[in-house]
Amino acid sequence: MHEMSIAMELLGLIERRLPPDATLEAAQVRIGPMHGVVAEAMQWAWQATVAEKGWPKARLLIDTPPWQLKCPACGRQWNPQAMDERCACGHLEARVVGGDEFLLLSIDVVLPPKTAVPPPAITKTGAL
Amino acid sequence: MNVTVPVVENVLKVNDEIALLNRRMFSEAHVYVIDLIGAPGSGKTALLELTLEQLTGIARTGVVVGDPATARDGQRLARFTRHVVQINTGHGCHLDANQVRQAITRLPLSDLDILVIENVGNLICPVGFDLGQHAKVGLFSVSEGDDKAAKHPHLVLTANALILNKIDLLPYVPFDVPRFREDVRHLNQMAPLMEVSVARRQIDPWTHWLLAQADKAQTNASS
Repeated sequence: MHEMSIAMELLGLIERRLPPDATLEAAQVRIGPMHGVVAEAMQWAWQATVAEKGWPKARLLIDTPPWQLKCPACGRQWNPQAMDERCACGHLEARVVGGDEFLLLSIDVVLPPKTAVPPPAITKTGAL
Repeated sequence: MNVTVPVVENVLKVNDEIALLNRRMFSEAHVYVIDLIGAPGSGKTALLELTLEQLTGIARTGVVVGDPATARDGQRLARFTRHVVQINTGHGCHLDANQVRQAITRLPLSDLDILVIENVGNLICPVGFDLGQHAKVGLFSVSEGDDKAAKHPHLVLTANALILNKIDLLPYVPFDVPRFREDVRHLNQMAPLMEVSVARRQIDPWTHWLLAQADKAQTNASS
């Protein structure tokens, strides 16, 4: 159940990037399949974590890029259906070139209404 | 006012930063550190018991061992080295860099040549969390089935070495060794795959690899 620790790490990062007094509405993340994150479990962990922080309605939007393999023999790049898929050229080995991403892309926030700040008073110093 | 704030940052950044500090601390102490990852029952602790026994008098060893509960593994390993720290993770399914950082404050790192971090029994969760180790070692066993490398690509892809344990059980369980080897090679062409039997005390490929890596790290640090 590493989704819970991931949710906590994610929220820690979000809190450091959140403008003062803002309310979190949503977070967009990109999690490659290499990380073995189960989307349903991640949503459950996210809901539990944000509820505790006082943002029970904050949504988590997960973008899951596909695995991407590259054949060292013929140079072909493709998105396999399964990780044990061989290249069409028959070569047995393949290199992973995509699917290991784990990024917080952006956060949607609601900023508090701006308080009217009076302009600073002009003080004359010295002779003109 | 609704605003989208672009971030584009690694989610595990804090863990990775602490791992970097751990790695620096290990390098300064000239101790070679591995993170041993395997499923529950694959034989991690049994492999380490025999490893520590066979390295007695050859290398100074220490262990950080993670388990959800009990100090049983720590007690087993303490028969072979007095430098053992047990971490209980509770509901946590993996160790993180900060837990390791706290554990190593209780170890005389400069007096060790090799430190093994035995991660919580799990083939998925520990893989994404850098602990500051020099090498990640994945342990499989024939009793788990020959499809486990293909089903856990993240571990196989990121491992610096892989071990297949319990080969003494091959006559009794269905396990296609060539298929397992092929799955491993498909994902990782660099990591050595060492076939061992702890029950028969046949772990030479592993201990030789471990000592060679520790020696190499020492040589690199001195030059």
